[in-house]
Amino acid sequence: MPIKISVFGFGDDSPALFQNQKKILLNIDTPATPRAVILEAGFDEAEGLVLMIDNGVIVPQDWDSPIVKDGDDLRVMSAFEGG
Amino acid sequence: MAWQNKVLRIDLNNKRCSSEPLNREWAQAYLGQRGLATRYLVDEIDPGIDPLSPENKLIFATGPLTGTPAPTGGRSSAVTKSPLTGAIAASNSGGLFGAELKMAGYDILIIEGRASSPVYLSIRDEVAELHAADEFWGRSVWETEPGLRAKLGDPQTKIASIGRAGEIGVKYACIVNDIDRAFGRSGVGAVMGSKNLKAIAIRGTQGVELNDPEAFLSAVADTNAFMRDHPLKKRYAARGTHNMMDVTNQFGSLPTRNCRDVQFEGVEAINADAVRVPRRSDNKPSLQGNKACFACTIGCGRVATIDPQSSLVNGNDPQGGDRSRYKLPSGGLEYETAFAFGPMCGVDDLDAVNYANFLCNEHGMDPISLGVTIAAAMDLFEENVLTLDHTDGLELRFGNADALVRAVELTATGEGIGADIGLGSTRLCEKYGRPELAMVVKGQEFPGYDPRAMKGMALAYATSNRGACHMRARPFMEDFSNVTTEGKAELVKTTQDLIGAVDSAGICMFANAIIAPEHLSSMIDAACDGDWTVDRLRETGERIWNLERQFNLAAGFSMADDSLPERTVTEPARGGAGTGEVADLSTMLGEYYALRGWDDKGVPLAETVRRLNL
Repeated sequence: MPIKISVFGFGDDSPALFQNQKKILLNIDTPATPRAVILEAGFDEAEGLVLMIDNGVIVPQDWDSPIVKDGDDLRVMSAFEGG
Repeated sequence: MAWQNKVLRIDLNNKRCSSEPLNREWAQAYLGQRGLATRYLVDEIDPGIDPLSPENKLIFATGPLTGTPAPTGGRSSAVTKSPLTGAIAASNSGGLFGAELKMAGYDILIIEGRASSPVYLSIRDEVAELHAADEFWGRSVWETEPGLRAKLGDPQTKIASIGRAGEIGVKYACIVNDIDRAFGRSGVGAVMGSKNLKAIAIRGTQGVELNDPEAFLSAVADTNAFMRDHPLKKRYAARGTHNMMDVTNQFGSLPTRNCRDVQFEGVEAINADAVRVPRRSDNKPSLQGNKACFACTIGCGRVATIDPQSSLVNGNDPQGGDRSRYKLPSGGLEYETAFAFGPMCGVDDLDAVNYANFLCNEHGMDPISLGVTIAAAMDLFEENVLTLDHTDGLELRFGNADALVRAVELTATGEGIGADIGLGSTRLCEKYGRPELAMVVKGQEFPGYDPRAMKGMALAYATSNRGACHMRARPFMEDFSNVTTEGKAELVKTTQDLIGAVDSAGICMFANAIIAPEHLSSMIDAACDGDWTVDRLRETGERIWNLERQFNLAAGFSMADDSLPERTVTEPARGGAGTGEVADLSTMLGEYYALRGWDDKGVPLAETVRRLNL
């Protein structure tokens, strides 16, 4: 099964794979690491990215753990210090 | 060097302007801006005074990098005792005003006393004069600034002024410079109004002498090179701070309906994407473009318009003025303004939120405190505490954009329920017997980060010396990465210290978010006398933090004020990463005090005072 990836806070700057859509379905072997998923989706660097599955934040130490499963909805957010 | 070594003192009681040498010892210990101005304030006022009395002083200060080519080197601070909180107020602004003060040859401008009638201050390099301002009193910032510039005859004059809000004593009135930049928080504009000082006009033509110009330009070039392609810089420029709304909403830290909720269902109508959608009426988006402050290489500022077909920009305003002035492009939405008038009030009407923002610039009001106080008023109305009798028929319910707009208008002029909203959340909610509905720390309203999911931000708010503030510490990314209190006390403490130095150096917090501390130290070290290592900058920031703390303790604050509103510590978040969580300071606060070298009541220990030379 593919996993769903949703992006927030990227505007027109989300990776080309998204074609200016906010959601895509990505076919990737699972379980996969969050880092592998975002690389496959076309994010070229991780700085400022926040990842969540459902309501759970993916803590940095889990970025390289195979925790993304079939059917998961991975949310990728572009964060920085606001004001 | 990099300091101008001169203080301009304005005695409004006697209408006397004089200059004096800068205290060089204090400059070496407190750098400039927030730190140095606080040092002067602490030396010159009794912390127990009434903030709106003539005994209070209003101190503008530049940093050593202000007015230099250091990236974002245009910042200045306004420091005083806050009429909103009774605590130290240190409000920081960009634009062009601060650099002009430095170019006029001054590090610090001290305003003291009270003029017997409205005046404005004119500074042209060494010449400082007070003049009658009767023709501008009662006028908005948007009328005063061009009017005064025309009167003075020099289009290069930079002006900071108060609007109606500062004149009538709105507790969170701000001082607006360059039309839409502001010394925004803690009511510094009310202090200026209490002194009958309408405006400060500055024309400076002097340079800034640097300790080692070659090394300085090299350090600036290195810093610029580092920033140029940095992803965060690109995001600030491309999306502005408004971008954070999507993140906080998804994360579950977007304060909504006076913190009843942490996510807002209407976010897509008012987020950073919404301002880019062409309108039906003119096929143009609200967002017109970016703008930048002095020496800024980021350009996070926004320029926006309201739909030209909207009733908000057609016909007459409540005072009978032509509303067409609101059709012109003006300062656009930052995240904080968008959150405060949007989700916090449950409003998803982009034009209404933009209009409220325009009015804040026009009349000089802090949009965070105003929006959050209107949200508190809406909560009181929803709870049937405020009734239609109190509001003169205004249905002040969450989500009512018309009521939001009218409440902003009434606050700017101090009419009807607007007079109560102008008191700020604490006094408003106390007046109507529901103090727990004020979303404040130390009397200052919450910014747009709910502390239930953001554990570090909870501590940052609780311990901020000027009351709830999102700019006094940097727990953002760690909070978004891990919903835990672990490690957050140290993070908050160390970032508070570094920010103390950044806020005193003359550069912007957003540059600080991109560059490394070593970039900052290399620029200051080359610009200034003395050896400015990163460690020394951190210690300087720590010294400033403790000095502010001592001021607050002397003003009557205690550890009981290092706390959060009841709602955030008793009502669990109902969505996002903090679902089921409440804000919890229990372990972090003690850990934080220990890291600070304070006793268990939050008072700096004698050895801390000694170590920091306080």
